[in-house]
Amino acid sequence: VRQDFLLQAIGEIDDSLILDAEQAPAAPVRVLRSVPRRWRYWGGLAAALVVCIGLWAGIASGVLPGLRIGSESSATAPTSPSCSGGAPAPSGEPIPGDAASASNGSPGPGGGTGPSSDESFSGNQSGPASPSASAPPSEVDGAGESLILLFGGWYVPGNPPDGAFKEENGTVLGTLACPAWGFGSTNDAPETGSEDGTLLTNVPEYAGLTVWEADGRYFLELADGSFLTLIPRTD
Amino acid sequence: MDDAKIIDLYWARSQQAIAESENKYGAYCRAVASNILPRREDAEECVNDTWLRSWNAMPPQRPRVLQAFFGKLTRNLSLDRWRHLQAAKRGGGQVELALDELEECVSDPAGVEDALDAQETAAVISRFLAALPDTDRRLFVRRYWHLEDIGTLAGRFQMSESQVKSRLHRIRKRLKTVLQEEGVAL
Repeated sequence: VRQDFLLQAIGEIDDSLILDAEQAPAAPVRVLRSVPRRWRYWGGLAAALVVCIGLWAGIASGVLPGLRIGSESSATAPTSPSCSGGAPAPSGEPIPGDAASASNGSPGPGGGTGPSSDESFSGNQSGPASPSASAPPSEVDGAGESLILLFGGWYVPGNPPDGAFKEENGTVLGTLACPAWGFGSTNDAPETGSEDGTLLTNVPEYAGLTVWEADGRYFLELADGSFLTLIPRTD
Repeated sequence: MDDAKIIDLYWARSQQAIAESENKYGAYCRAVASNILPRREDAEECVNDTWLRSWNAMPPQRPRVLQAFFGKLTRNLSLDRWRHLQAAKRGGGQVELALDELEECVSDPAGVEDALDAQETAAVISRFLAALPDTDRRLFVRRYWHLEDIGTLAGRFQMSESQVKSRLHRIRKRLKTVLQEEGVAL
């Protein structure tokens, strides 16, 4: 009763004091004010746990490729790979010696250093590849699952090699161990490259094809003997 | 609209007075009521009752500070409702509820005396508060007039909760001394 009386008396204090209290700094907005502190604590912990599990699941399932923790030889590879392809070489232009070398896996002519076509990219089999614009082709090849961090860029119309490069200074770098993960940066359904510059991504059938380097340019040798131009990423 | 015009509207018995009061002081009164009553509906009802009481009080009253007038009305109404709700909460409290309801019907012999005491005590408290440093004064009024919780006060005054509590404790001790010196029996 006495406290109640005091509370009532305080309610009758001078008006100026009530107005003066309005000069106090504004109260900060308190989020979740009605939620008990203990619940907030456990709720925060649970939310953090969910985020961690989500990240782990995302990385493990490949939904978050940018965060994928690669295995071997990924240190120098681009972290956000994308691939491009080009149109096959014009069928009317024969590539000397190409069919034979591609089909039997013999080293490319000229340089004489090409590896067999079923080798995977663990390095340049014929000496330095001397790429011109970016890191050399590389591959992260985990156990049973390959992640190609190879080339990005866009198709350059009319730019298949004339074939002579293999004779002169072409070098087989290895085979494209593309795969399961994809030829591009996503795991979408396969798309085909097009001449208008569509990103070529996730084309499983390119796995195992030979990659050539010549004059600082990179080419993918298709099964029919034609070539795709691979433009290294520059970004 | 300034306060004098709003008061004039009340005196002219214009219902526009309530609309203008709601426009200008609705949020303020709602904040006062919300500090006392956790349920939004209860607070809203008290604010509406404030306008009704004001309608009945003006005339004859002509408040000097309209904001404080509305604030006091809202505070008192909210405290009454809070007491009523507390009584209802206590064990189904039909007896307490009945007493609470019958209280309106009986005259309280000590009522006038108490009212005088409350006014005198309020005057003592006002003098005491006026002598306090700004922060202490505002802290006290925010806590015991607006009935803001400690967490809000800590955020408002950029202090930790324990700082707020200890500062309020010191102010209460000093107030107790002053009240005893002034002969206010509590």
